[in-house]
Amino acid sequence: MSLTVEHINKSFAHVQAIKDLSMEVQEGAIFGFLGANGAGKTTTMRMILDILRPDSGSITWNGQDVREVPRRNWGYLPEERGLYPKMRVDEQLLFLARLNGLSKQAAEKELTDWLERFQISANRKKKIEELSKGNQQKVQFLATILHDPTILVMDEPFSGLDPVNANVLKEAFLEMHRRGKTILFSTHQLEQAEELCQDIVIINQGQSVVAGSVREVKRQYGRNVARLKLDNDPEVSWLEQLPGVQVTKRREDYIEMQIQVNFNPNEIVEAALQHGGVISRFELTEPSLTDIFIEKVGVASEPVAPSSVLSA
Amino acid sequence: MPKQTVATTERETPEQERTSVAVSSGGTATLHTWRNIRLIIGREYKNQVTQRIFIIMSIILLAIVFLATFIPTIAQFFSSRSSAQTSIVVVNDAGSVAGMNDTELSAYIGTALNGTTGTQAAGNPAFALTFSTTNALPDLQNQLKNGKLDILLVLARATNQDMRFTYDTSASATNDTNLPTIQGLTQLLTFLDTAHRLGLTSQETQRLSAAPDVTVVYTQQSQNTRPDSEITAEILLAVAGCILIFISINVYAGRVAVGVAEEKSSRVMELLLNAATPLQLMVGKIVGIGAAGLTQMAGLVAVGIGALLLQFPIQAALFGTSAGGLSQYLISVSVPFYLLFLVYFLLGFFLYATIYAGLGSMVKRQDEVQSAIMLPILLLTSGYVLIFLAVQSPDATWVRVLSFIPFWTPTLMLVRIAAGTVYWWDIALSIVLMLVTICACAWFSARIYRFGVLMYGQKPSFGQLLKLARMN
Repeated sequence: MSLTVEHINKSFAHVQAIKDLSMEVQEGAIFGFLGANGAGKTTTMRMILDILRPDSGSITWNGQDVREVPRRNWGYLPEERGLYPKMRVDEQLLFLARLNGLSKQAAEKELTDWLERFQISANRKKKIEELSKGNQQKVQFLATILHDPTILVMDEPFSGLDPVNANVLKEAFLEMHRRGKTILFSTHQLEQAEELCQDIVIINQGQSVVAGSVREVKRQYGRNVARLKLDNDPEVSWLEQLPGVQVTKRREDYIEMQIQVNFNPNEIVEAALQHGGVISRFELTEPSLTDIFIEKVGVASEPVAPSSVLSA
Repeated sequence: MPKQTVATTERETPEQERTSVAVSSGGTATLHTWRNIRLIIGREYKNQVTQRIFIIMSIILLAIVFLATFIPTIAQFFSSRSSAQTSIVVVNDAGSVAGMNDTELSAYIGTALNGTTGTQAAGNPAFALTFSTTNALPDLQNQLKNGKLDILLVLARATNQDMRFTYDTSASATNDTNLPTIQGLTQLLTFLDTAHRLGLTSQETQRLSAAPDVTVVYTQQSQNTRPDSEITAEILLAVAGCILIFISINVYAGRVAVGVAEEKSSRVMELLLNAATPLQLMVGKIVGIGAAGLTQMAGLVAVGIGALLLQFPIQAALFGTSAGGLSQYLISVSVPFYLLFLVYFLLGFFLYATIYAGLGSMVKRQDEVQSAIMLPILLLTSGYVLIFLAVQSPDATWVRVLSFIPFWTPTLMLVRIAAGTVYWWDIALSIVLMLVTICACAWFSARIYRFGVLMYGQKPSFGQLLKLARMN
């Protein structure tokens, strides 16, 4: 029971946007789809939704080709938000829900419930263009879930929201998870992926570079992170000489380093004491997804997808 | 052998895919397809007719049509009301003309100018005739100058006894509507007078002036199958119909292009594509907007016909006669003509709307729509301009040939049907050609629609478009 993407390729004109990409989203899981701008996330999502077709490879839901899966099973939140600006909220959502296969009565009932829950019932008869950005996002979210889809594909669902609205949407997002929906979402905010996802995939230039459960990915990374602060020696110049230690960040209140898994962190403390350092902070943490992402994708990774017409 | 098998399988893959596309859009999902198209039509229709601009335009157009139907009646009303009587004074210096004394002459001229008394059912005769004498001439000249008198006609004789006329008028040289009537009168008097002087009897004179007995036979049968009045009426309606077709295709097909561009620029397209296929979206949009257009047109036609029917009682009340003018034309035109007009109108709309939809999907922003649909607009406009040439020679070879080119068929065929000779297979062929072209354009547009709607980069070249259309 899963959404399975197997060895898909997709080229636009002369550029290969997706190269032999495979991934598996377990039913009922929250799956994080990570990658730099232009890495091919949107293209992949469009292929999963059968808006685009892969040149080769297969995409299946529980063994069934996604093209055959009834449309009402899918809920899509596109990255470029879009609704009819001059259409009323209720008419718009009813139209989309019915287009997605809901009956008129069912659509109206769902609509009333959700508007209530999102506290935007007062905006029911307003035109989209008259709403605040946060409320527009809520309506957009409703357009994705109103027809009660089984699989949610969300492209950057939390981008550009203030903390209050982001929280409202995150609650709804988790509510969908509790209802057993399968959720695939892309994000730039890696902390969010870390917080919400069971499984992730990081893609770069159309290829999968890291995949698996969050814990597994971190373990595979093969390094831990340590943070050290010495009160009397802010530079800690000797640190670089320790074998198996690599300083990654120098911050005002600590120095962050990566240490090999087999390296005993006690050696750092011992070395510090030997150098007569006064330790005010020493901690061990797991590597963050951000670290992994930056290492795998590279800070300077330019979007490879060309600004050609066909790469949209 | 194994190699061959592999090769065949590989070659079959795209075809299988194509079949599955066909199935997914036409087989298993047929029910969804109709449901979706119905929903989209409903949305587009409602979206159009609830727009403020649509309502305002409809009201303005309805008012224009309503008022326009009253124009003939109003014109007739004013022309009958205005004392359009021309006062004419005849001064006879010529003595007896054609053997008639002044009284007889006065009666004769009166009849010649006003027609036989009694035929004018209502109102006064066109000319108010008085006889005067030479003494009054200076006074009459004055009356002419200050507009109390319209025409002064002086009859005299030259030295060889031939009639001589002097025609003074208050009308300007460019605006003298009475001159032909007076010229006719003088010709008649000269003829009668000369005949009299030559000593002919009145019977002889009558024979001399009798109309020639000519029998006209049209050997071309088709020219004779329809009464002239019907042809005139149909030409009038065909030209009006062409103008209507031109304007409404421009407006409504243009709305299709704008609508597609709107969905694209507001990015709602991606949501729609998840729920419906590009073909469903395109068909729904075209039919929905077309239905809104037809609603407006039906409203205009209904008001127009209603207002025309209203003219009968109004004219009867005002003039005591039954209605003339446009109302008569409308009745004398045959029913098939109206049906063909509707058919060509719909086909023309679908043809252009399909092309506009495809082109609309290629633009990034709404303001680029106009330049994107430049080419079809040129085609449409040329088809409109051509009717004014075609109406003069509807059976010319170039008209026949061009009328089979689908982009020009709606307007040119209508003119040919109205003014020229058209066989049933002409009509059938033109309709078939249009249907084929519409299908081809719909296929092509749906293909580029699928890609175009997700395209936000620079505009592709025509070559790229063809490539897109061939892609899966």
